[in-house]
Amino acid sequence: MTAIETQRLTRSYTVKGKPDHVALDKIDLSIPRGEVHSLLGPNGAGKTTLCRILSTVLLPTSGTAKVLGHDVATEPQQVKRSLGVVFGGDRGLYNRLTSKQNLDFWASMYGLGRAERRDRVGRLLDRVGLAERADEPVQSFSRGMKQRLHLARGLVSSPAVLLLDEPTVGMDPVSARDFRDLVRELRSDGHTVLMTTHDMPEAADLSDRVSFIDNGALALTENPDVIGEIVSSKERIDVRALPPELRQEVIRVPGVSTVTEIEHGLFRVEAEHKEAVRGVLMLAIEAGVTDIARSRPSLEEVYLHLIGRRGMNVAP
Amino acid sequence: MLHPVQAARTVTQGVVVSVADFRSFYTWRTWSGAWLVRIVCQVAFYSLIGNMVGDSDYVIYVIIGAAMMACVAETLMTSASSTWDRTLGTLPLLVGAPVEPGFFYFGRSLMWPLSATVTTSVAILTLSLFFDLTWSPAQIALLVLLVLITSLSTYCLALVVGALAMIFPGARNVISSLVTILATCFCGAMVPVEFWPPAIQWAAQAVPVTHGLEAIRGIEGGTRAADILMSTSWTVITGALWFALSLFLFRRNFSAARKGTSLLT
Ligand SMILES: Nc1ncnc2c1ncn2[C@@H]1O[C@H](COP(=O)(O)OP(=O)(O)O)[C@@H](O)[C@H]1O
Ligand SMILES: [Mg+2]
Repeated sequence: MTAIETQRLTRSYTVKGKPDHVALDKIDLSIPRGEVHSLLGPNGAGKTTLCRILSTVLLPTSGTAKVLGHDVATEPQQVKRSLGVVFGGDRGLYNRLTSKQNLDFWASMYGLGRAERRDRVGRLLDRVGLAERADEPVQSFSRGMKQRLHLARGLVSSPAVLLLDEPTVGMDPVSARDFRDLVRELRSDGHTVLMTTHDMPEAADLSDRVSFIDNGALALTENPDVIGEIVSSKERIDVRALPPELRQEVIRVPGVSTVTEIEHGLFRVEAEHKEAVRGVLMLAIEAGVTDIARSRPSLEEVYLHLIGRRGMNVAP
Repeated sequence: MLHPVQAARTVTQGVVVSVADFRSFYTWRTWSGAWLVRIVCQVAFYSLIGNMVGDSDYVIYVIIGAAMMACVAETLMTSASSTWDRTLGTLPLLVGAPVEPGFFYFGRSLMWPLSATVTTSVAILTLSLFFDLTWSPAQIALLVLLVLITSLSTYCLALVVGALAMIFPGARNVISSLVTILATCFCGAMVPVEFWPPAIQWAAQAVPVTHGLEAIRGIEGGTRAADILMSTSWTVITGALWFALSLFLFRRNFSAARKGTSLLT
C-alpha cells in the first residue's frame, strides 16, 4: 500500500479583491511505505500547502490525497491517527507549559493513556536531547530547542507517516546532524517520511527519492543519484591549478567539450565520454597536476537547471 | 469522538493550559491582594449607590447583583483566551489532531469561572458583614454552590462568545464587554427583569445568570426550596444549551479553518 498518494491534487487560496491563487496545481505524487522522500522547492512553491492538506489541516480544492489509503477529505479521523506533522519554525507550542507538559498534552489528544504517555514522553524527550530541560517552561527555550521539541511532538503518536515541513531551518549544525540521525532511525524503523526542505545536501543525504516543486507544480520525482545523470549525461572532472598551456592541450583532446574556470584556479572539464576523461587525466598527470576530482552535478544544480534561473531565497 | 475517557482527557489538557495561563497572570498574592480586593471594592461601590437610592433591602439586592456581574465579567475573559491558540500557532495543530474542539475549549478557560466563584462568594459574604446580612453555615454552603453553578453555566455562554471571538479576534474585548453590559442591564442585577418590556424579559430567560440570581436571592430571602430548585434547574438547563451550541460552533470553526485559511495564519 502506498503511504501517500495524491491525484490531480489542487488547492487555491481566495484572497479578497484578487483572483484565486493556485498554490498547488494538479499534483500527482506517490510515496511507498518506508520511503524517505524530500520535496525541494523555493519559497512559495506550495510545500507547506501540501503538508497542510496531507495533515488534514486544509482541504483540497480539487483532486484527492490519501494517506495509507484514507482520503484526507472524507476520512480525516483515520488520517489523523496514522500521521504526524511538524511545521517549521518555533511557533505552535504552549510557551507557558514545560516541554514535558507540551508532549503530554499532544499525547493525550492522540488518545494515549497515562502510563503510555509517561513512557513515551520520557523516551522522546531523551531522543531529542531535552530530557534535562523536561520541566522547564518552553518560553525559555532557544529556537533550536523548540524545533527539537516540535519533532518530538510530531512523533508522540508513533505515526506511520511523518510530515516534516522545513524542520531544520534555523537549526544549529549539531542539532541538524542529530536530526539527520533521527530521520535515519525513523527510516530503519519503517516509518514513511515526507520532508520539505531548501537544503540540497540534506535531501540528497537522507532521501530515497526527491521531488521538485515550483509554482505549485511537481517538476520531477527521482532518485537523488539519478538526477545527476539527467542534467549531465556528460562526464566532468574538476582540476585545480591547470597551467594555461596545458589548458589548451586539454581542450584539443577529442571529446572534451568545455573547460571553464568555476572558481579561482579551479577548472571544470566537461567531456562527452570516458575516453576523453582518460585523455585529460593522462595529460594532467604527466604535467604533474594531481589535484583532480571527478565531480557530479549537485542537487542544487539539478534544481536550478529544472527551475530555471529563478532566485533561491533561503529565507526562514 | 464522544468517547467519555477521551473527552475527559481533552478537557484535562485544556485545564492544564488554563492553569498555566492563570498562573502567569496572578501569583497567589496578586490574586488575593489585588484582584479579589478589587472585586470586593467594586461591589462595595455599588452597594453605596444602592444605599443612597434605596432601602436596606435594595442594598442587599444590589450587592448580590453586582457581585454576580463581577462573576459574569471575569468568566467572559474566556472571550480572549479562546483566541490565544491562534496567536500561539497551536490552532493548525489542533485542527490536524483528533480533537473534539469544544471539549478542549471547555478546559482551556476553566480557571476564569472557578476564580470567579471564589471572588464573587467572598465579595457577597464580606459585604454582608457591613449591611447586617447574616448567613447560616448551610446557607453559605448553598450560596457558594449556587455561585459555582451559575458561574459554570455562564461559562458555557462565554464559550459561545469565545467561539465567535475566534473568528473576529480583534473584537474579543468588545464582544465580552457588550455581553457583560447587556447582562447587567437586563438580567436582574440592579433592577428586576420584570421592569423591562416582555421581549427583553423573554430574551433574559436564555441567560443563565438571570436564573442564578433568582436562586441566590431566594436563599437570602428564604424562598421555598422548590422555587430555588426550579431556578437552579433553569440555570443548569440554559447553561447546557449554551454548551451544546459552543460544541457546534467550535466544530464549525475547525471545519471553516480547513476550508479557508484565515484562522490558520
Ligand atoms: N493563507 C493563505 N492565503 C493566501 N495565499 C496563501 C496562503 N498560504 C499560502 N499562500 C500562497 O500559496 C503559495 C504557496 O505557499 P506555501 O505552500 O506556503 O509555499 P512554501 O511552503 O513552498 O513556501 C504562496 O504563493 C503563498 O503566498
Ligand atoms: Mg513553507
